[in-house]
Amino acid sequence: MICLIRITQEDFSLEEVIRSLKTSKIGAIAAFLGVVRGESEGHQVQRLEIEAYEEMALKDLEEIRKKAIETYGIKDASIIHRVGTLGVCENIVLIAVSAAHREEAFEACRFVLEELKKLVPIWKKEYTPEGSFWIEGEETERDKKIC
Amino acid sequence: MRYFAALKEETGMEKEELELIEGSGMMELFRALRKAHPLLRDLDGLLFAVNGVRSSLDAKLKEGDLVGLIPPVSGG
Repeated sequence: MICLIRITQEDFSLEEVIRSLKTSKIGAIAAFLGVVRGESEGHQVQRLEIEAYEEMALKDLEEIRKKAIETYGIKDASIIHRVGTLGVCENIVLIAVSAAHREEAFEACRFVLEELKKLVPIWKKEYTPEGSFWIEGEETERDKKIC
Repeated sequence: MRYFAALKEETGMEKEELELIEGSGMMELFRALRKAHPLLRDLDGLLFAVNGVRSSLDAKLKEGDLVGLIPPVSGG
């Protein structure tokens, strides 16, 4: 059995996570995979640095998982977020939700992602040819400097 | 104290120990931080976590508390 809630420098295996969520009681698994995009608002992105307040982020992710199970009646959820330096196209985050039916799997998967983006203490820094910028919420330091 | 992301750059450090007078709360702490770190931004948009738990601005601190200063998040 693999650990379903993780913050890790290592890459993860989508196959392995999906395999660990499969049981005879489920009929659907919905997964979201976030990867490093090579551009951000018209600027080239060369790589990302991702930092987490790990102890707190793990507690938050576990809370979000529990809330998703209670709210949507899903069977389980795996949330894996990477930290460290990641190149373009590398995996950042995986959310995989198992449920009896597709509706709750899709809804819970989106819920987990939105909660994670809103709450969990994890930060991205973009490295671009113009310099490096921390992203905060929807803003980057670059936006603030331009304004 | 623990600082994260852009706040590490604004304070020039990741961790530090601070001494406050007894009975101090978050506002006293933040005033001390701004005094010690002139480049540290205003409080607007920042969160405090005491021993890993989000804390309100009127909470009081006790000796040995580990306070994290948390800028707006951007995971996912």
